[in-house]
Parts: sequence; C-alpha cells; structure tokens
Amino acid sequence: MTVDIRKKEGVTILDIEGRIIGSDSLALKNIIDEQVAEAEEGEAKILLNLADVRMVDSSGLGIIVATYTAVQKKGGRIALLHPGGNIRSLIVMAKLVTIFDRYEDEDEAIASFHKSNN
Amino acid sequence: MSETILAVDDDIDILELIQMSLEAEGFDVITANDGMSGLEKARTHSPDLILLDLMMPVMDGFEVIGKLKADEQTRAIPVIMLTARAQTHERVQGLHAGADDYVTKPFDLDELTARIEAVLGRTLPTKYINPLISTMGDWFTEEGVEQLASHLEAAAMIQQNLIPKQAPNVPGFDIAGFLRSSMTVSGDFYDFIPLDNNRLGIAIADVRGKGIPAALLMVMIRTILRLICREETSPAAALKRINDLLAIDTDPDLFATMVYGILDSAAKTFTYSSAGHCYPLHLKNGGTEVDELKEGGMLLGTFGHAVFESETIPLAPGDELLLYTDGVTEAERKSDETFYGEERLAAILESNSHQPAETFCQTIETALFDFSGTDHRDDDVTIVVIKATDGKE
Repeated sequence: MTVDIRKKEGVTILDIEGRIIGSDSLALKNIIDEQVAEAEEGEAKILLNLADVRMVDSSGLGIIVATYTAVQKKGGRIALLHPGGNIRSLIVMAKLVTIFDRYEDEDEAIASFHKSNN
Repeated sequence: MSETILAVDDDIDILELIQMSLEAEGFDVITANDGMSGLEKARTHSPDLILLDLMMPVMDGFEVIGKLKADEQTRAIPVIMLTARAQTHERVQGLHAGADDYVTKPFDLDELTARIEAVLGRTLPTKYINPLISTMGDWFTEEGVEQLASHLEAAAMIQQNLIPKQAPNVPGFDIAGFLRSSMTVSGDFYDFIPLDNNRLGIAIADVRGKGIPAALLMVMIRTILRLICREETSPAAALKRINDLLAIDTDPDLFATMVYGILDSAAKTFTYSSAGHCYPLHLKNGGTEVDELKEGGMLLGTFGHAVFESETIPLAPGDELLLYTDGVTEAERKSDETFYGEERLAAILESNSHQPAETFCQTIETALFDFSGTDHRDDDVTIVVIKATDGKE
C-alpha cells in the first residue's frame, strides 16, 4: 500500500494505492491520525481516494471506521471517493452506507466539504 | 535422536501408562514416583522435558518446580504439569512458578503427546513472546516480556474457559462450534445459551483489534449478552442494548461485529439479527440453494444511534445454517493474493450437506489449509454450524 497526500481547496486528499490488509491498516491509521492531528479544530476535512485500492480486509474497514469517529470528535468530516469492488460490499455488509458519504466525482466530493461547513 | 522425558507421579499405574505410550511415540522415558527422586533424576539425566504431577505426598509438584527453577542445571528444562480438572487455581499457580504447560487428568494420550511436541518444538514460547517483542519495540526488556507473557497466558486460559466445551443437545438439530485462535488471546467467540425448554441463544462475534484489549471487549460482550438475553425477546433488542452499553464506554478503535440468533426447536425457526457481521449462510430447498442472512444493523460499539432489525426464517429438515467470522473468508492465498471468499464457502456448504455438524467444521478448516497452503492464520477462525435433521437419529 502506498499513500500520496495532496491538498485541494482546504481538503486533504489521500490517494491510496494497493491493498489495505493486515498491517497496512495500522500504517494507514498513523497517516490519517497525523493529518487529523495537524488540522485545526473543526477543520479536519479528509477525503480517502480509493480508486486504486484493489482489496480491503475487515481490519482495513475497521481503521476507516475508527478514523471516522476520530474525525467526528474533532468536528471534522471524512468522505470516500471511488469506493469500488470489495470495499463497497464490506460497507454494505457492515451496514455503514448511512455513515460514509461516497462520491464518484472528486470535484463534487470537495464541494460537499464546503457545503457541510456552512 | 530421540528425546528423553522424565515422568514424575506417585501413581505407579499412571507412570506405566505414560511410559508405554510415550515409548510407542519414540521418546525415551524415565520415571520417578516421588518429588525427591524426580529432582535427582532431573539432575543426573538432564531430560529434555519433565511431566510433573502436582499432587504428590511429601514433596508436591510446586516444590519440585521451585527447586528445578532455582537450580542452574535444571532451570531450562521445560515442565508440563499433570493436574486434576478442577484445579484451575493450581494450574495458574503452576504456570506462574515456571511450568510451560499443563494437561488435565484424566488425559487423552494423544493430547499429552501433542502438548509434549508443542513444548519441545518451542511453539509456546514463540507464540507468546514474539508478538510481545514486536509490540514493545524500544521498550523491550526481558523481564517485561516475561511478565507480560505470564499475564497473557493467564488471560488466554480464562478466555478458553469461556468458549463452550461442547455443543448443546437440541432435539431435531445437530449443532457444532469451532474456534481457532490466531494469537494467545483472541477477539472471536461463540456461545450457546439455553433460554428455555425450546429456545437456544446462539452467538458468534468478532472483536476488531487484537490481543488483550480485544479479549477484554469480548468478555464484556459475552457477559452483557448472558445477563440480558432472557429479558430481551428479540435478537435485535439484545444487540441494541449491547451496542448502547459499549458505545458509551469504549474507545472508537474497539468495536465488534456479531450475529445473535434464537433457535426455536419446537417451532423449527431461527430468529436472528446481525450487527455488521459476515452474512450467515442458509442452505435450503433440499440443499440446492444458499441464502445470505442479511437482516440486522451496524457493527457494535461505535455508533450510539445504531438500530437493529430481526428476521425469522423457517428451518426445514436438511436445512443448514453456517455462521462464521471473517477469518474464514479472509484466509489468504499469498501466491496470488486471493481471499478464500464467500463463494467458495457457499460451495463447500452445498457439497458437504451430508456431513455431521462437527465434521463439517473440520472440513472447512481443512479447506482453508488446502486453499492457503499454510496453517498460519492472520485472524481467528470461528465457525458455528446448525443442521436441521429429520428428527431420526
């Protein structure tokens, strides 16, 4: 798994590539935690770009859930971009469709952060 | 080169039995029928392993372990205690005193051999200690690891005792449970709880995270479920109560998925609710069709506002329910980075419907081995099988 971090209009976008399984989950958690810690109170805007993620296991999904609650606590928001294949079915199985906002268009995803901020 | 086992027991018949069976397994066996001569033979023969009865007159097993561990010459010899089934406290005391493992009497000779091989093969120390060393990182100290390892061993023993020893006998049904832990303490569990004459509560759960924190949450969930399951008439209500209690108290990193169901052996139904767990599989229509049981709600312990639904399904003779944790479907074949997956599991369910529930658990375990090519698992593997029989034996 590799993660590239870029910022766009105040939103931190993590482009994740590869698989999020086993120990990748912890590595990803550390990266996200850093981004959340750096953000000002109420300003944590995290978009996970999963377009190039081939596979996620349940511990990977677990980290995404844990991140969701951590970001919420800081008054921020996390959303998913291009959640495909097996992560989509994991989210459905865990009944988390109502928790995670999912987008197929990056600009739309970024715009949603500014809307929810108002 | 065959290894030498020193067996110490005041019961001559047991000594003889141990000697015969271990020699048949290719070990050299020497015996002593009291603690004092056991100590002497340990010094003079330097055996590779000592089997030690705890309850002996004059010098008991604890005293023998103490002296063995105090003596430079015998300190490193692994010790397996022989204890009576009821002596939980003694077992823990013995493990603290430095014993490597224990076997309860009356013991199965195959089990005894397996334990001996495990201890001689050093599977136990690495199993307990390697994860600790990696977790402790820069804080690593030998004493620290030793201390933690002994706590882990005690925790693992408490936890093992919480898993049902045998499946309940329910008329018209054949039920089995299986759990293989990937670590010393695990986050998976299953439970069978008799609710009244006809109804049996069946739970399977997977606590996310690993080691002691996961095990503690597992114990909490099991305890809450056992306390409330007779009050809450529907599985959805039971899961809701567990969720609401956990959501208040636990770290967001810790949560669990779970299926709780009630098997009604009179009505021949299964009423269940799933908290974000892998969908149980329902083999039906004479073994020709597999359904996923999807009703339920979110995973447990993270969202205070989570809501749950229950569903009741009829169980006809020949129907089979397969509950499992993701250690099954996420067993990985490293060569092409593929998970075992739900489709293979459904296929194996269809093609093995003639097997008794307990045999079928083993069939799945074997299939995971054949698929992954290894018996190493990154996650716990837990399986519960419920078969509706035609009522005839």
